[in-house]
Amino acid sequence: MNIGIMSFAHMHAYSYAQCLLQLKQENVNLISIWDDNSVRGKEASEQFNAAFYNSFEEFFRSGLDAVIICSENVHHHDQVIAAAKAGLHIMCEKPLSLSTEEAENMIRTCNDQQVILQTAFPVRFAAPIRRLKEAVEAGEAGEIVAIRTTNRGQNPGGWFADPALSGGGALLDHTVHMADIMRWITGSEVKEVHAEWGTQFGSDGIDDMGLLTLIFEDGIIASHDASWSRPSGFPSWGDVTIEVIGTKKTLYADGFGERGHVYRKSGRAYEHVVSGEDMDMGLIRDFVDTVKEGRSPSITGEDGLRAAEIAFAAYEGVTILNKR
Amino acid sequence: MVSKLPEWMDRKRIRENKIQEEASYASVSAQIESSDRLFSLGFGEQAFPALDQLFQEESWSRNGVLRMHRIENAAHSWLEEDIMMMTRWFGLPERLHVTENMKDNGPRHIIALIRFESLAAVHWELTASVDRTAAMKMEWSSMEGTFQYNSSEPYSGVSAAPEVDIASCIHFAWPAGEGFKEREAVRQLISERTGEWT
Repeated sequence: MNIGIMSFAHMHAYSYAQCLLQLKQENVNLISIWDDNSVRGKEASEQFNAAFYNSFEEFFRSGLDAVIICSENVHHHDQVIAAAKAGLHIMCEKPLSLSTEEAENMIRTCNDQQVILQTAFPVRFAAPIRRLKEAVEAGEAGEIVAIRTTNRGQNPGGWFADPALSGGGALLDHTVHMADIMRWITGSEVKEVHAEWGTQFGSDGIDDMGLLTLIFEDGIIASHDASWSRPSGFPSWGDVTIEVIGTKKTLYADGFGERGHVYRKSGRAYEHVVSGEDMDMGLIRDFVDTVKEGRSPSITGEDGLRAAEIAFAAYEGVTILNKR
Repeated sequence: MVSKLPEWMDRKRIRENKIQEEASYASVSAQIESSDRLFSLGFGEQAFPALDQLFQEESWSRNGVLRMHRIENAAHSWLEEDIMMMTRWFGLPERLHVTENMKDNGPRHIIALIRFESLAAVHWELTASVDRTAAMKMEWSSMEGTFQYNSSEPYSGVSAAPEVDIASCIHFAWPAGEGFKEREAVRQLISERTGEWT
């Protein structure tokens, strides 16, 4: 199977490329890279030993079966449409789109072209999150009453902090992962969103904070904390946590909880070293298997849309999502 | 002694809060009288002076995010008391949304989303159930840094609830005769948004 990566704008592209290299013995090959930033693209092509293209047409004709899109958010729509029309299966970085209409068009086009559209939600492959889901399904928590989630990090800077390219700040960037996880675990859709958001951690011209209260169709309520609030001295880049409050007991999982603690005499005095399974590897392997087997993706374009829709709703402050 | 408590404190939490022993009531009540202050009785309050110190002595900004989660084995909602406490840092609450979910055979969970004058945004949550061990977790994040507190941190597998830190309660109490404007504003906002359960 031949895979290409469209843009290394998102840092996840480097991790996904490393994962693909690890699958080489399974006849999975990263053969082509497209990037509108030629310097960045050529560097990546040298690093990962793949051909570089800055023309869509040449890139799509390079013998690909599938592409992974890691461009700036604003380009996801057009690049998914282009790849789908080229007959290529697609995994697109989150957030899937910058509007509901865009996402619906992406999903429709991929369906029409009979290509796979998978949304890149690697947190689904974090071992602690998967184990929590298994425990919920086994009835350990009882009936779910409420959920509390966090996804906080540091301002990544660059295009992430440019609304013209990202479409939104921490609220968009750090809501979609856990919105997806909550939908995945509950099997229920969000019907109501209440949010307070703004710029409170020093970002310039873009939101870096969002607190969301969610009400699900089955009555479950949830709080979510999305932010670029972690100080530079924080022992890790941030967090991805979930607490499921059930009728029997409360279950908790930290997506990056499998870690070592490093204490130094100087420099970065305290640091977490992630020692658990690589969630990006789980995501890439799942996408590869989906393409190989020609099955429906475990994380669909619809999943990407529903998660992004919660962030879009939060920007409105109070939103009652339409019945679907 | 309880009858001498101010009206806004002399409420069902005094009667129903199962984590408190009679001795504690007497002790706390005695100190209320001697200190002539109004304050809430929840445990975990030792976190408040610690955060207050960061505001006062290290000039941390009041524009940030506070997340607070109380786990109670009694029926009382601490929303009013906790918002009153927050007004000392953040000014009056400007927006409040409250939602709750409760199961017949399980806990009641309340989520309050609050925006204050200082622009501080707060998620305040309560999980109340007779079979849960009482605890309080809070986290403040602002440009200057992050403050985290978890009353359960020193324990693991211990069901005994932590005790009220009376010194912290008094340290953080409203002096009697102050805070009327804040109290009225908080009560009005809560009653507008919540109805019967406050």
